[in-house]
Amino acid sequence: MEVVVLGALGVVGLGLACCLYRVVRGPSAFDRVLALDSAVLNVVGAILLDSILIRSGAFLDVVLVVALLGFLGTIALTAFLEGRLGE
Amino acid sequence: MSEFAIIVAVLLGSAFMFLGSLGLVRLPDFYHRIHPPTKTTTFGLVFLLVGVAVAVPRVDVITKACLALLFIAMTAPVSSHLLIRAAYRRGVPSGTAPVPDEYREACGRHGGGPDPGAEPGEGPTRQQGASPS
Repeated sequence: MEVVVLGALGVVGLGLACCLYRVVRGPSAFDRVLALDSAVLNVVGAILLDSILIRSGAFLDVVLVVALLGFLGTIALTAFLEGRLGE
Repeated sequence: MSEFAIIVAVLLGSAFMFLGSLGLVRLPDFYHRIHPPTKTTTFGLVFLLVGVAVAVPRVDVITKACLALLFIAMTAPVSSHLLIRAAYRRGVPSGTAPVPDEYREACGRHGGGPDPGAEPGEGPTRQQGASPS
């Protein structure tokens, strides 16, 4: 059980590394915003796996807040890149 | 039984999340790359939230897991839609031109200009693609 969850944490960490590769490498700024959004989702998945590992429900609040901040960050960066932030 | 369900949920969820992030690396251009994090990663998060709800079967945890599921499933399509529309308007080049470019045709039908949301005094910045009808 613990071994499976720790291995899944490693796999999610690999996914986070993929996202960071696209952040560094991405040809356009939209690729970087997309990769940051996906990285936030991976962080949420890692928090959920940790919450399964220690059998605690206290991190669900953290999950909600991190997902909200990721969504707001993506919306703000998209509005900035589209150029209609000051309207 | 509960352990088995948790293990299945964890394996499926982490596999889907990794595949979504791998598609972000492997796919050729932006309009392909926006698909995996939107659908696959959200689907993996569904499995992980189910795993949390099975692992900690209390009322508040299950309620928060359902709230997080609803919130993520509602916001992921919205953010990716805004992102891909901004990328189209800003002229991010696509590897293969969209053959029936229905968005551009709809824009031409409504206002004549190629982009109804563009700022005045700014030409279309799209670099390639089907010519407007």
